[in-house]
Amino acid sequence: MGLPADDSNPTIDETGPPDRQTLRLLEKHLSSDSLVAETEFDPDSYEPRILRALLDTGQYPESTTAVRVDIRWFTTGDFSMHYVEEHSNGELWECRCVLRRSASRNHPS
Amino acid sequence: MTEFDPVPDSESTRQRWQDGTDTFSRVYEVALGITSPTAYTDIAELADCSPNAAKKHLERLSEMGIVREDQESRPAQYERNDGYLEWQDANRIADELSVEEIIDRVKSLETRREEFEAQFETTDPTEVSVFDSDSHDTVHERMATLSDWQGVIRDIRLYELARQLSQYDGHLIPA
Repeated sequence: MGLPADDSNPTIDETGPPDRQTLRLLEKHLSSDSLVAETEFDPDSYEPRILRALLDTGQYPESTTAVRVDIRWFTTGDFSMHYVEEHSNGELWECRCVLRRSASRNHPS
Repeated sequence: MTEFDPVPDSESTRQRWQDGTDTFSRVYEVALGITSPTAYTDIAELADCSPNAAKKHLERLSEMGIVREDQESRPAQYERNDGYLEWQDANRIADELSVEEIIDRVKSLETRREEFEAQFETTDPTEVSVFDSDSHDTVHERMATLSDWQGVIRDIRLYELARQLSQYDGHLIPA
């Protein structure tokens, strides 16, 4: 879901607490996605820091034993995602992305 | 299903809303993600509905206290009402957890807060830079740590409100 940028925060050098509302919304949408087997909040739904989506390994090659996406969403509108694939040979494939909207909106290019 | 299909179904990946989600639900969900004043015409686009429908539902949500409305601006702007949503969160906590459980959670959060304060030598997480050249952490890790700290502070406040709600039998102020 694309959200409009927040212009109200003048500082670029900070991050906010987890955005509980957005994490909950994302959880709702992810839990109805056919690629998602399970969703959970870390440490729990009362203190959500990370939304974790465990993906359905049935839709991956057999050598993939576990796949998850960890999502952090901050009240500043910034968010980060961490994708981790575990393989049967013990290898770990991962990638991270961070989007800092609070920074980019103060550095118009 | 053991065969790997590298090409995602473009129809389903592009689809933003599930079939059968009604207009009000879509406007409501979009509004919950809006953290700064936003024109209802933009909200309509995100909610996949007509501007008039979006405005009608947003006005209703505003009456319910879920969104805040700025009628002065043209077009009218809306954003989620964080005060209402904080109350809703606290109310849910007060409903589901006992006062003892809340107190226990606050205690462990206070311990974590002290650990953060000792680590960064300040009580204010906003004084700490995400871009610290002395730190070996990545921006990603640093953001996560600072957000956790701010989350701890916010959760303590939310639990305090929940405890107050329990104490006043669901009221914000003593009857």
